[in-house]
Amino acid sequence: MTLTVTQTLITIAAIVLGTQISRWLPFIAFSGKKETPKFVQYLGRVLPPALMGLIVVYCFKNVPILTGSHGLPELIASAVVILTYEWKENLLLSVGGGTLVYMLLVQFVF
Amino acid sequence: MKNVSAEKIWLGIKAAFPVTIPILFGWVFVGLTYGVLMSGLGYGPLWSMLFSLLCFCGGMQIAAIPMMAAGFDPLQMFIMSYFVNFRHTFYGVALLEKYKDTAPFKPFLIYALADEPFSLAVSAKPPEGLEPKYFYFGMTFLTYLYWAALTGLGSVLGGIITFDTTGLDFALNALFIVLFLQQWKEKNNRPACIVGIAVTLLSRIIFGSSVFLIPALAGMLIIFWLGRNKL
Repeated sequence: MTLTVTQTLITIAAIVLGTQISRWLPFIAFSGKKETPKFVQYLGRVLPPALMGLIVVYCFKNVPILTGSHGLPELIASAVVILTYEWKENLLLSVGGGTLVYMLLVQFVF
Repeated sequence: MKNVSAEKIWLGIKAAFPVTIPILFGWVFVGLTYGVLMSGLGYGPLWSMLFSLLCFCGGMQIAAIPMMAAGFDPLQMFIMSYFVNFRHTFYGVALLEKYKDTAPFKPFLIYALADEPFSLAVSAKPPEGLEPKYFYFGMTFLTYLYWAALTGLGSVLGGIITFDTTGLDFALNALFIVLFLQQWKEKNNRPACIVGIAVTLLSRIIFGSSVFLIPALAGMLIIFWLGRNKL
């Protein structure tokens, strides 16, 4: 360990503090006594779909488009997920199928 | 605790278990890797689990490893973890309504509001006949447990695992795609879905893969502000 036990515990506390501020802020700011501002209510409605979009893009942020496999394994496996979900609407089937296809592609094909 | 039934907690955990399975698999690689990297710094399984149970922020925990190797700097660590997890503030805004009547679980739900519990809370459907708060608690509790267990295991087993897990972490991507599709199914959500994808993609192209989240969030706020009477 580069850090002593005390330094490690302080480091943990620093991470916890930074993370928890980011998570608690909205719940403390809009704690229900007063009515939540209209714009924030509206954000509460549009943010869930928008943030799911953000997370999907975030997942693929390091996929090389111009080099290596050009993102083909990711593209094919994602298509499997989407098509199977359109077909059966079964979460585990789509996640399991897409992951299996992806593992086969990156381990044996690309 | 009043108004809470142990039986309903159990029902909530059981109902949440199937939708958390992709997270369990998706985290195998990253959880074990985290444990291995931690043991490389001299931290055993108990340390890894302590970090996971207290911090519960995978991305930042991993980013903290080279920072800890470089020396003791709690202020930098604090600032970094606030910005790395800045998106969680938006998750909170998005869940203000859903998490409104979740006492006595609310503090825990907020404490553990990472990407995966957030996306399940947004998209997964609580079972009929059970108050949603038990379902939210169940899925948050399970993901919390998986992360602590996998990172702890990584410190013990990481070096001796032989099964080729390359690509297993795609399970998380697949899960997020499905949860996104569930949002997309709702026609009213589509403009916001497109804003989310387009702005984040644009930001990734302009700002590169390490700092694009904050500009993306800022861009979304601006667009939603401009479109507040239309979207």
